[in-house]
Amino acid sequence: MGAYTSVPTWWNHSDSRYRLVCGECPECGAVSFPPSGACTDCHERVEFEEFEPEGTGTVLSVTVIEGGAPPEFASLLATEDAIAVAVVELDEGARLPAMMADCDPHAVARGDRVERVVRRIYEQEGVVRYGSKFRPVRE
Amino acid sequence: MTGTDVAEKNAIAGVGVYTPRYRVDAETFIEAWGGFEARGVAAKSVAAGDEDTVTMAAEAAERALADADVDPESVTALRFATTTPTVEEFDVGATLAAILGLPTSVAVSVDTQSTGAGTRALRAGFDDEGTTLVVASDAPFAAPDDAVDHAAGAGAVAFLLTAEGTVGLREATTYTEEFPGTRFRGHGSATVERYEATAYERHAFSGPIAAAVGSLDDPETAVALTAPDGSLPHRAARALDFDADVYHAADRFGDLGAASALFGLVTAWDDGVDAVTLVGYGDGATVDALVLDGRLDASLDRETEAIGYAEYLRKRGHVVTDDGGVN
Ligand SMILES: [Zn+2]
Repeated sequence: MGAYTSVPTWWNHSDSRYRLVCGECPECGAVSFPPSGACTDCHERVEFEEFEPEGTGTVLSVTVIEGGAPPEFASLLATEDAIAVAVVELDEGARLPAMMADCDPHAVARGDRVERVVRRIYEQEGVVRYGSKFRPVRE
Repeated sequence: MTGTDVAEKNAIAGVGVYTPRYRVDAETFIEAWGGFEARGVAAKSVAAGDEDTVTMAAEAAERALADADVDPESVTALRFATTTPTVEEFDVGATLAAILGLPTSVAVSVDTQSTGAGTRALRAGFDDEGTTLVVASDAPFAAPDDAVDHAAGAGAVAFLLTAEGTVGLREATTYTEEFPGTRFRGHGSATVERYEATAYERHAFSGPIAAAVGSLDDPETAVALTAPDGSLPHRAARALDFDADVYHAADRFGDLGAASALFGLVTAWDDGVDAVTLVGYGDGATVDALVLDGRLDASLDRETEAIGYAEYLRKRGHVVTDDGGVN
């Protein structure tokens, strides 16, 4: 979510943006997303063991945005009227904020099972930035 | 087989389908617009504001990989077909490959400029050696008062082909004959145009299809074909020299461009048909006719949401002017 990101920076983390590639801490075993910086659990600066998670998780919290979104999301808000933004805990343990897609944003609730999808996040400098969102798991 | 090691031909081992969640139906159109120019289309799918042909392709492709139980790392070729690539120059196949986690050694090709591109990509996938992912994804676009735009839907379909696949290619033919001025999109334009001469356009569609199917040795009577609307495929079928059972998905999803004929194939499979004549038509015109043996399970159903006309226009990217006009 949010804020201007240069194309090179976006590209640098594309495996994590597209497929949620996470990092397992070699010190404590905790899973961090993205797999860079300090471990979210033991706070050590470590060389993460990268892996691709299943892409499924659970909604910890959700907020529905109906106005006042950052400018890069204005066009999405114009077509969709509302955007649900959730904090998702992946089944492997990492937590991340992400937009919901392919669903009624008002119907997303804490505890919902969700799965990763790839969508347009926004377009800037004429370049479409793709990345992960989540949608409810439907049986 | 003799002692020499002959590679098995590729066959389809997995299928995946994706349609966006929004639907607009013909009645909604008629009430708001006063008419609906897409014959035989009862409802159609509409992409959300965060979807395009790349994201829909990724959805279908991931499902095809899962259906075939194939690891993305083992894919050796990606063939992506669309008449509406998100950019005019730049290999969107590379973006799709990265999203899917395909290896950097994957051979990527993008087939475009023709609604026959999906069938042509599939045909090429049968000839490939190795594991090929064929993905057709489309969302045609025209002026809001044009029948092409009334028909235009959105969706993607993907097939995973390996030497261990279950749906094989029995035979294939092709036919090419020029018909200038039929459906085209000019340089720098976002909208498809047509010459609009009904009899000529119908002949340009039905004639090449009859010729391609007519040159097959042993066509199946179940015929899945490119459906610019829900009427033209039936008209084309009447020009064939046998009684065809016509399969298309335009009645449910609208015009799916390069993915259209392949949606027809999945519709036939969904109906239990296990041998299909697949006909991909592209204005120009070129036609590929393929006879396929075998079927895979695939559902075209999903949870949907009906939307009104104004919402439809916004999601499609049409601009409503102050005086109520639409551009
Ligand atoms: Zn740690």
